[in-house]
Amino acid sequence: MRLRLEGVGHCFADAQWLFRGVTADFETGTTTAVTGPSGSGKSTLLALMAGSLYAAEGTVARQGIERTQWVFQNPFGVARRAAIDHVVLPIMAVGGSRDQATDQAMVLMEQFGLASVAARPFAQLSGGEAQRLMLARAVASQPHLLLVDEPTAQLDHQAAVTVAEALSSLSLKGTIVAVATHDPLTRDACQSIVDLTRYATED
Amino acid sequence: MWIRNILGEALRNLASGTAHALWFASAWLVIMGGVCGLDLWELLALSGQVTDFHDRGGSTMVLTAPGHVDGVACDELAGITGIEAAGAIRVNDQRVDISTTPRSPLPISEITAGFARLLDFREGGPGGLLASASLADHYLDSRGTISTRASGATSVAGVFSWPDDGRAQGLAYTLLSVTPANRNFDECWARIWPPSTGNSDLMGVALAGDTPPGEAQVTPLNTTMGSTLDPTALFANRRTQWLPIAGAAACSGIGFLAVWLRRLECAATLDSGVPRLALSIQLFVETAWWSTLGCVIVSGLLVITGAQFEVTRPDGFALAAGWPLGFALLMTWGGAQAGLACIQRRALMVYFKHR
Ligand SMILES: Nc1ncnc2c1ncn2[C@@H]1O[C@H](COP(=O)(O)OP(=O)(O)O)[C@@H](O)[C@H]1O
Ligand SMILES: [Mg+2]
Repeated sequence: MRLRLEGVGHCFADAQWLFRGVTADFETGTTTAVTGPSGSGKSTLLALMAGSLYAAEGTVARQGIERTQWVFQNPFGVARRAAIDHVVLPIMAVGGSRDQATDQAMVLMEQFGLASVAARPFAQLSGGEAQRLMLARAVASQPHLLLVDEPTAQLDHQAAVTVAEALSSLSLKGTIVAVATHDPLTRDACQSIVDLTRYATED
Repeated sequence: MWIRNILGEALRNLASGTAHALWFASAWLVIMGGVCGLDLWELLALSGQVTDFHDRGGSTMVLTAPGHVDGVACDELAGITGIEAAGAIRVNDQRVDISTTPRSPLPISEITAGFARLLDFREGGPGGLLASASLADHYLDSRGTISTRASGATSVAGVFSWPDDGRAQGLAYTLLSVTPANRNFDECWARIWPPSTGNSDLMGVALAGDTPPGEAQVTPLNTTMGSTLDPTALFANRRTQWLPIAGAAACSGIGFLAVWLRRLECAATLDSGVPRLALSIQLFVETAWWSTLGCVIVSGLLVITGAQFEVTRPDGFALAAGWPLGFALLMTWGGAQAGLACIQRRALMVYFKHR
């Protein structure tokens, strides 16, 4: 599985270029940060990678990527359902018993530091717990490409630290992970960086 | 996804309150309870109207042909299906003097046995006369007899009620005496039920062979009730006939709403890899649960209230409760599926983009 950007640039309609000439390789097992200030085109680049948007110039080469999963800055869950149910669902979706799925989900919950709140209703989770649950759920569906957009933007420092830790411990054999962020803490949790300020144009 | 796990998700959503089952069951209950209640109310009102038409003589037809009615043929009309009772009466000038009163003598008419059956009289002593309730009030003594000047005490075989409710009042002030039917009479009465012009036309067979054409005439006993009433049409064209349709439409609306309010949750479920068919089954189970709960309660209430009223039309109750509830259930489920059809996995992306 591979994803390669080559000389990619984008602009919306007749607005100015957001970035041009982005060249980068994304590999499984590596978490890449896409950084830059607000409005620099981080979300746009993720959308180009997902294939839901076509680049104005350059090529986006996607090999073997079939399942893409997003995690957004606002965690969304089912208020009255237990936290772990959110992680069990994508595992059950592909078949197998609930018991098996629950065991697998529990391993992920532990990995994301959520074991103690597994039975708690989603509405009672803290912001950091909810965001980590979103990551656990996304990982549970074993995507080929995991796109995380500003996961800590809504969180206080303490919660952001826990999410960044969760991201840094991510080492998914079959998944390419890209994280859009302007938070240094989150950036430092990643193994490689695409800094959009380097590709910004001045016209 | 395993069907067991789909059901498990549905049960968890119901148990946790995620499906808001009680709210939607209540909404369903209010809508369909209202619909069925109003419809039943209207049906009861109509059935009262129909009973009234029957009891006040709206459907009792009078064939008038003085001296030309065959008493036997008239009595035999009662054997026809759709004719409840029939009999003949001779309105002659015979009168009896009542010994207890100095007032003018009372007229006395001769009737056939079939006519007596048509009156639904209250049994009195053996043989003798029939009297209307108002005559009985005035002239009946404690032994159940009326004393006439000519023949002394004459026993009264029965008293019939003859209220002044718009029906021809002749019988209220006439004593009736049952005579053999094998001679000619002046009128033939028939209580036709359910109302049918075909059976009114049939009354002609009670005319004697020598009747001059154009002599006979058929009129309702109570002309104030209108000349005809068609219970079937009355029920079918009732004011509330569209109410069950409107109720079902409202139910499909709440079915839709129940899913649409959870569109992000549904989009997230699809995003988790749950097949659309699995989610459709899950939502069906949830919707079926609360709508059936509402339906069972409405049915129970209808059985309880319905049992307290007498609905003349045997299928009147079924008309109020049967198909409208079933139809509303189907529409509720359809609404929920329509709600799901309007939800795409993409909804999640669009939602977060616009935040
Ligand atoms: N669909 C779109 N159509 C037009 N302009 C857009 C669209 N999406 C984003 N933009 C614009 O592109 C710029 C970059 O957006 P975005 O990629 O969301 O930046 P970032 O994620 O780095 O904050 C912004 O100015 C935004 O208004
Ligand atoms: Mg963004």
